[in-house]
Amino acid sequence: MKSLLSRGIFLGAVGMLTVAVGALAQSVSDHESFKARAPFAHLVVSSRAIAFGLVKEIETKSIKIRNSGNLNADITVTPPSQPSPFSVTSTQGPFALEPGQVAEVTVQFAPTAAGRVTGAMAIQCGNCNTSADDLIGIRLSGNARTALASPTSIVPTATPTGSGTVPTPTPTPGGATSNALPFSVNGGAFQEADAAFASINVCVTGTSNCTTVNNMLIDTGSTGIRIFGSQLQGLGIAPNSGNGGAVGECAFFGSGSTWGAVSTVDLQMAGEPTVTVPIQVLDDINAFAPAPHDCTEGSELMSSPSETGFNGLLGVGQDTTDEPNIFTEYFTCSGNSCGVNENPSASDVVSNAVAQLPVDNNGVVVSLPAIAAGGAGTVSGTLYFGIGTQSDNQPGAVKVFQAEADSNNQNFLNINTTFEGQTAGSFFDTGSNGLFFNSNSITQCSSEELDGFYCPASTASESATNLSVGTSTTGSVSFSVADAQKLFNTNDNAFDDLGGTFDGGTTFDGFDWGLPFFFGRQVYFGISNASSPLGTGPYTAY
Amino acid sequence: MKIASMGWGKMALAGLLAGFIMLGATDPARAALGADAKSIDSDAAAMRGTMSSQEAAPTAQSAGSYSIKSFVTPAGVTVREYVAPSGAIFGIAWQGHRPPDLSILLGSYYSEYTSAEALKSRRDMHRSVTRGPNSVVVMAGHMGHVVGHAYVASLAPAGVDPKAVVK
Repeated sequence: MKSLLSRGIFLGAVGMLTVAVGALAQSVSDHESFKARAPFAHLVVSSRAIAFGLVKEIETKSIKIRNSGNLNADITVTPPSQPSPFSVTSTQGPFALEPGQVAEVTVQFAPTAAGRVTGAMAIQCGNCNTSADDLIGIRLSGNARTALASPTSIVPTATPTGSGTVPTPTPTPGGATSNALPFSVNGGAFQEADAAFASINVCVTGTSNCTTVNNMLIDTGSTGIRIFGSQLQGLGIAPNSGNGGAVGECAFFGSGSTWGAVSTVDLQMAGEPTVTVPIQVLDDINAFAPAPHDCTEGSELMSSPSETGFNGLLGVGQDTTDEPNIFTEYFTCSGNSCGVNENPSASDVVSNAVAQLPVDNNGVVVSLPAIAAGGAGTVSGTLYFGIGTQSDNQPGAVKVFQAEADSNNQNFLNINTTFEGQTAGSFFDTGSNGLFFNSNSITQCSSEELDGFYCPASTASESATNLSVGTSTTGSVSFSVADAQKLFNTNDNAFDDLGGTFDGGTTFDGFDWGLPFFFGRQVYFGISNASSPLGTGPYTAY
Repeated sequence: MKIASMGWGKMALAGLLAGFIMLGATDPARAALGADAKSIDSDAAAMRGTMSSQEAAPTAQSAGSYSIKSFVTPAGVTVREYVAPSGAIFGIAWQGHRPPDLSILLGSYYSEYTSAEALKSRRDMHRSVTRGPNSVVVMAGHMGHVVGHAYVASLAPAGVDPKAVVK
């Protein structure tokens, strides 16, 4: 019940039309007559037309499709031909709709001119029982007094997010899940280069007090969800109590640390069922105890959305928790005073929300299209939950690089990479906005502002070899490094050739495969000890 | 502006502030960066004291015109200190699941580090470079694997580029 309530609020916030369940049930009553036959799939849609009427803002509406047969239906949603003010924002598949399950198909109307406009889209079933199900046309119509979107702001890809709108999860109560979370490399609110942003829904546990947090940076280099308190203000989320005080946490990252309370919240990502999970609330509004010395002695605090460029971190790495006492430190706080707590309760430890999902819980897939050298303005991608659990996250032919699985090993969760004749630890990190590695041959930028980035006079063509830990898999990666100064001088936000030093040196001693690596790839991240068609995590495969 | 950076104007102010604070720096025996090699043992001892119990005997190795001594903290952080022939520590580097206590390792330069750091307006996730008037502090990595180094170029032996060797 609580998940339905929270979804209701969220759906309302994005203006989605929810079809009454009763009407849907009636329209599928004919499936009874097929019962005695051999296995079959049969598709029923709640409506064959979506009429937006006269809109004052960009709107989203949806219809439901149900498989009334007893065999998985192979569904593909064919979107309207682009350019069009109509776009499909839910999963287009192909995906499998199980018998009895319902999927929501969501369409956004973003008129680019005044006046009435019509369009059409289709839902295809590859293996349905009657030919009438093979291709179901859906009529689209809408009207607007003025243009509400520029023609270029609608990106015709599998999971467009539109301009300034919230990526739309498609929860389907009692039906199939949408495991596809759209994200955008669009600069976010602060013109961040190579940063992948998604939206998630956060609710006070067990209530319908919810909010959508956008500009969540997708970070495969960390585990756990961390959101600046300013983004959750007024929601009514309180720190967890444990050990006689409030639970505080410090987490250490490459460039600094995060500090704040641990709060258990209800979380909803894409169309997945709600999970109840502890997150870290980064204290940018002085609502919690000040950061203790242990948290600031060795690094700098990430202090605000404007400083970091994101509203929060969607840490979907390979660990199941954020490893208290190893990667992070937990505290018990009373007033302004915090003491170390080396034994936080499991229910107070920030954990991997993906691992909590009922089905799609063995890892994630990061999917981004290829982009041209020199950059792109906005690029849409998809974060799929689960590996081999749905039709849209089935791995193709990929190489699996096992990561170091021992948390006591300094190379924990890393693989190895050989570059310029030397081998060192490496990792695949969507949270890093470049390819970071030390080279003794690529020219570093001379300006202080670009300290640590590479600025070669002509684009450098490089090659490195990735090595699996404990298995013999190897793979060569070719990549380019362009002049960062020239890239930053463009208005683009996405670059596949942005690079810099790993840690300021010139001798190779680590490779950070940041977001540029992900363009044109589907990269699979297997969670520790979780099994999948690609084996048992932790691994990265591409 | 697309990356973590600090403008020139702010740099100059950071320098002025740091200069003031450095006048008050005390206790060089406990200070690592800028102090003499003897302080490495006290660094190791101090960091043991701040964490749980574990042996951490510094080991020495020669590297041409300077030497490197290293120790491991109980939290598993490997710390290396770079010692000039004069005995002055001109660089430190670390690697581990988390950063070490820089308020110990940076010694008298910790103040200029925190002053310069406080003036930063942007930060990227992977990497941070903080330049004080005398020191450079670099850190990088991701959750669970952080590396960093710091050096004072003016203390490095002649012919040694600290940017190239301290890591």
